[in-house]
Amino acid sequence: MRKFFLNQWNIVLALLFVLFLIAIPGENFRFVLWVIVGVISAALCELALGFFIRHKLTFPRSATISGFIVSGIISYHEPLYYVAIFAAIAIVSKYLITYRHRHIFNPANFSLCVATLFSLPLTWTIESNVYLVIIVGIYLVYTLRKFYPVIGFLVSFSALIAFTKINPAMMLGWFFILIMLIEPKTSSGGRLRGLVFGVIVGVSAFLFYQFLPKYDFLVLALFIGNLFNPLLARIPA
Amino acid sequence: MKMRQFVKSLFFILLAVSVSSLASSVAKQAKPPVKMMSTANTKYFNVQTFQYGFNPSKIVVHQGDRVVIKLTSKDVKHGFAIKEYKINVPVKKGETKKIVFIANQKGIFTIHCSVYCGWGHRKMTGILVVK
Repeated sequence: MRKFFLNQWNIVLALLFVLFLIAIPGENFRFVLWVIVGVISAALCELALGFFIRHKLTFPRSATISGFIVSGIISYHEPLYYVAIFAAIAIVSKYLITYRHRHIFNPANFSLCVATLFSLPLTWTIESNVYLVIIVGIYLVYTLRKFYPVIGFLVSFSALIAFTKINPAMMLGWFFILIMLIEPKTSSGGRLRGLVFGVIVGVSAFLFYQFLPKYDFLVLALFIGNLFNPLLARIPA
Repeated sequence: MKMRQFVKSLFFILLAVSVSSLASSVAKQAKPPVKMMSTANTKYFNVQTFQYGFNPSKIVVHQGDRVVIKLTSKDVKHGFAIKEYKINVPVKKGETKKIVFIANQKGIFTIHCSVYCGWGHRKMTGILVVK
């Protein structure tokens, strides 16, 4: 058990599962079904692609996380097959959109971008307990050494939002900042790279919020940040 | 090493400030008064959006009614979206937007906030009932 929680991926998985359980009483049976379909679709898609492309079968842990995030954020009032499609989009994007054998985009976020561009409502139902997200998120930020992207985002986004006479703390997305923004493979680490990455996402989030409010500004901003990630990798650590 | 300590301190200070503001925002969520008037076949609603809800949260009309909604926001930017009616209108704090549509589909439709507005965004829903 202790060994299980030494791995950050397992902690994220456990957090998502607990958030899912906490959300259930406030929602309904369809939410449960929606998330199960999303998780299973993502896991099966990962197993199939892993088998045909890498010729090996491993437990689809990261796909399960992506499935939880996709199904936990897209509104579950949509037709059930939508969640299967968007979970699959997340996993396929991981294999298709690569640079130097590494995926560029956070798979779940890529799928959520497609969803928001198709005007699907993103309700962020998985953010069912903000305090739990903050506590576990801080631990993840600490263990993954991802202070800089978080600081870059918090400072840039808060400063720009404050100019519009809105208290930025009232509308920060903690699940986004402490779980999605710090995804190790698609976000920049290191002092300068991390700060620049966080600022790019923060400024993009503000611009989308101001000028394209019909679309979810957080997922679009992370998409932009991911896009810059290969360039940022050239900055010396 | 000092730099790392500074960054850690800054990180935790930012978090502390943000979380305390978040906690204070939880306390002030009083519902504003509702005004509604109607004429034959046209229903008027004043809908106020706030963290985290719509007031009124339930809009009841009859099929064929022309629905006119005057939308305002009390605090941050929110959205008023009904997917089935292809309505998605963002509204800034202090701004007023007018939404006009014909309620031609019968049923119960979910009204979502289409602009992420904070940790309670998931709870921000209402319903449109077309009888």
